[in-house]
Amino acid sequence: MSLELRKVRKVYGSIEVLPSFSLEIADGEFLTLLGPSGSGKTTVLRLIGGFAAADGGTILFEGADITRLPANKRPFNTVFQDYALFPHMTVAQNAGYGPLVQRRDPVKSKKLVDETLEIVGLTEFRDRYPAQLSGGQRQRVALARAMVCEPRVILLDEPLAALDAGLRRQMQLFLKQTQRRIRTTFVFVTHDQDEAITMSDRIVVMDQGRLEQLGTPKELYYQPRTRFVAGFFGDNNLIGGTLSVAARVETPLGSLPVAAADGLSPGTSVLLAVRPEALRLGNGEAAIAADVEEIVFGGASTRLLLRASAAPHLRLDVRLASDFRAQMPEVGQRVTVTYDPADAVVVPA
Amino acid sequence: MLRTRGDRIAEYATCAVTVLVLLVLYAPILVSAVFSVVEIRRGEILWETFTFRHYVTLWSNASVIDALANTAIVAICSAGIASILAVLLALYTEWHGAIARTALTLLIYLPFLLPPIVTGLALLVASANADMDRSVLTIIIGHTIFVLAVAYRLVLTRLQALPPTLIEASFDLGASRWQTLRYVLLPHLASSILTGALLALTLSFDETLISSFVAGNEMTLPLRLWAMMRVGFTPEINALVTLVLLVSMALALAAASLLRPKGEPEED
Repeated sequence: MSLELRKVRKVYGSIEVLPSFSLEIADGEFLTLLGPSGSGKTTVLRLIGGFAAADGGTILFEGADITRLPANKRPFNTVFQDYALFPHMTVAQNAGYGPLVQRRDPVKSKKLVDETLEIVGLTEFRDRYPAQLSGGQRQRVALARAMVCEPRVILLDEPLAALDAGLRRQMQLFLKQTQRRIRTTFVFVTHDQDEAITMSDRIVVMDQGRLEQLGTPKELYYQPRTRFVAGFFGDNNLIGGTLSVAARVETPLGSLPVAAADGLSPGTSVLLAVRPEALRLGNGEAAIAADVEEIVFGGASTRLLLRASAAPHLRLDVRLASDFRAQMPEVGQRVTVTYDPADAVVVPA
Repeated sequence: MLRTRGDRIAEYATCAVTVLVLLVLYAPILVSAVFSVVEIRRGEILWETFTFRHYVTLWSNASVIDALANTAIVAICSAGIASILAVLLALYTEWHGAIARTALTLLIYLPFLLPPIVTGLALLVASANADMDRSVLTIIIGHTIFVLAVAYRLVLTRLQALPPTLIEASFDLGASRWQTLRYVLLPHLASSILTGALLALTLSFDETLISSFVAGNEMTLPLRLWAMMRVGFTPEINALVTLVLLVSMALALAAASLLRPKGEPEED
C-alpha cells in the first residue's frame, strides 16, 4: 500500500472536522474524495499534502511515518483549486519552479519542463504569463508544475471547479488520460458525483468527517451501503419501510422484493433504493401503481415523474430510454411500474 | 450603451468642475514657475526678461547645493531604511504568531498621524536625552520614522492581497522559507516596495517641520528655501520651488505608473 491514513484526527478550534479517518491509497490509482462541502475532504487532502498538522493518528507513505514531515519534504505535489500560479513567472518558469528550488540539474530540468509542457499541450505558451492565459490553460500549467517534480502522488483540490461545463468535461478526460500516461497516484477532491464517476478508479464518499463508503464507481452507484451514499450518489428512488423475512420490504406502497439484505435483520427500518433507470413500465414481482405527474424529454432518455397512488407523498423518478416510435404514457395517466429485485438495494434508514 | 443628452451634460459638468479644481490647485504653483523665468512688474509679464539665469545662479549657490545634497542623502537613506523596515514589519505583523500586533501597528502609524510638530518635538527631546548631536543622522532617523507608515501600509496591503495558496504552492514544490521569500514573496511585493520607496522619497524631499527640529546646523532644501524666503522673495526662490515641484511630480508619477495593473487574459 502506497499511502495510508490511520485514525487521523483534525480539530479546527472547537470543531472536530475529522474524528478518526482511515484510508489506504494504492500506488498508481486515481482516487477521488467525494462529499458535500464541510465533509472534510479538503482537510484530508491538506493533511496528506502537509499543509495542516494532524491532531492525532498517523500518515504513512511506503511504511514511513510522514505525519510530522513538512510539505516541502513530502514527495507529493498539489494542484490547487485557484491554480496558485506565480503571476510574475512565465509558464515555463512556473513549471520549472520545483526543479529550481530543489536545485536539480538545470539542463535536465529544462528538458523535463519542455517534455511536460508538451504533454499538457502548452509548448507554444511557454513564455506567456498566467494573466495572459485562459482558465483551462492555467489549469494545465498548474498540473504541469506538479508533474515536473515527478511526485509519487499528485493531490488535486477541486481543480475543475472554476471551469465551465464544456471545458470541465474536456479537462476530466485530459486528467484521466494524463494520469494513465504518467502512472502517478492521483488523489482528487470534488463535490461533483458525475466528475467522480467519470474519472476515478475508486471513490471515497465522505460526510461530516467520516468515510461513508469506499469502492469503485460501479459499486457506489449500484450498491450503496448507507443512506447518505444512496441519497448522494445519483437520483435514487428511496422508499422507507421495514425489512421482513424472505427478503421483502414492507412499504406504504406494499410489500416490495429485494434480492439481498446483507447484514440486516428482519424488523429493521430500512430504505429501499431503486435507480431511476431500473424502474420500467409494466407488471412484475414488484408492482407499484402511480400517476404520471410530469414527463421530461432529455434526448437519450425520457424522465417520468410519478406520484405513488398508495402513498401520495412519495415521488418516483423513472428514466426510460427514449424511443421515437414507442407510445409514452400521458400526464395524469395511471401506470404500473416494476423493477428487477436484483436492481434494488436496502440500506439502514 | 446609448448615451442620452443628460449623460452628456453630466459628463461636461464633471469635466468643467475637474478643470476648475485643477486650475485652483495648480495656478499658484504655475505662477511660481512663470516667475522663475520672467519678471512681472505692476501686474504685467515682461516677456523680454525671459531667462534661465536664476536656475544657473541657484546652481552656483553653494548653500543651496549643500542643502540639496543633504536632502538627497536624507531622502534616499530614509526611504531605503523605511522600505526595508516596512517589509520586515509587514511580514511580521501578517505572521499568524505575531505578538503585540495591534500595539506595533499603532506605533508604526502614530508618527504619521500625529501633527508633525509633536513628532518633531518628541524627536528633539529624544535625541537630546540620548546625547545625540543633531545632524544629518538625526534628520534621517526623523524622516524614517515619519515615512515608515506610508511604506508599511503599501507593503502590507500588497501582502494581504497575496493568495495564501501561492506560499503553500511554493512549499509544496519543495522550496524552503528563504527560497519562498526570494522567489515568491519579494517579487510579489516588489512593486509595492518601490512605490512605497518613491512616496517615502517624495515625503522626505518636502518635509520641513520635523526637519526644523532635528536638523541642528544642517540644512535641507525646504529649510534653505524657508530661510531664503525670510530674507526676501527672489526669482531664485521661484526657480528652487519649481525644481522641488518637478522632482516631486516625477516621483509621484513614477509611483502611480507602478501601481497600474498589467496583462490581458485569453478566452477559453
